[in-house]
Amino acid sequence: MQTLATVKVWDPLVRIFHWGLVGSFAVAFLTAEDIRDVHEVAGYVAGGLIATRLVMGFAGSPYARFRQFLRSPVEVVSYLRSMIRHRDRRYIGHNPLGGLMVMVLILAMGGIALTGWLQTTDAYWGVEWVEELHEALANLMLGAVAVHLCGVVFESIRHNENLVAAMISGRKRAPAPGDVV
Amino acid sequence: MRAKDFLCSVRGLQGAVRKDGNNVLILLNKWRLAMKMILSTIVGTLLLAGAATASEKCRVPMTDWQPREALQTKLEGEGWKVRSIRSEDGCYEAYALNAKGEKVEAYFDPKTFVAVDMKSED
Repeated sequence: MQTLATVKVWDPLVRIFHWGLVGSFAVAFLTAEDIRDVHEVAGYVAGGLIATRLVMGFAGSPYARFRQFLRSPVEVVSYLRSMIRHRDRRYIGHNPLGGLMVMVLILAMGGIALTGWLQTTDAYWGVEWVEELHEALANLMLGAVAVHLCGVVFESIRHNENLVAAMISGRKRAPAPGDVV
Repeated sequence: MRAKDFLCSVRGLQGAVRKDGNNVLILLNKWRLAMKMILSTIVGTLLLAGAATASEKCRVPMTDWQPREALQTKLEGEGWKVRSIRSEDGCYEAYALNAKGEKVEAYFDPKTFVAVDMKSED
């Protein structure tokens, strides 16, 4: 039997955040039209998760920090180019495109939670633009999730590792020479 | 007890167990089928009921609809702060703060402006 060395990448909080967000967004999406109580609870859970994640982005474990994975637009573009030429390096944490996606998802979900909560306040009750923004952001989120899944599948095949399993166990194959740690 | 009788009773027992095992499996399958049917019936009924109530909240031909501005004026006359009025389930659906300052979501018959349904949150 071949045993591969692995390293810890995603700490438990990151994983709880990730799968918690998957669950709360799914529940909120499914109950959006007709089960308001459940929708609101799911929204508050998602909002709480986002708030926690923002703190983790500054004070969390190394691979959870924004500074670790947020790259400049130049780096993102050059990574995209290397991907097209099939010369992209394996990142132990988020690759530049993945990091961008994380940020898009966090901001979209944060905006959804915020505009959702606003609709329960006296000031924004029934105000149409808030509702429209809430729905537009939810659609953006849905599209981003689809792209995110494509990225996960692509990267998993490209580097021959199961990234979904990595987000469950928190561990990834140990870095090889040439990988970005 | 003779050896032959003993063997027969053992075989009989084995047969009974095998038969009962099959019966249990058959029962399980029947149970699964029944649950499936019950669940699908419940879900189907709920969906139908939902669709029925959704489309039947108000039933007024378009030509009889009063303009939504008229509803807004009426509600404001009653001390409401109207945030938005849309058409929903064949009714006008108004989001507003009522005279007591409560957040309300109310459905009105588009012809008579009679309140059909009203939900309020403090």
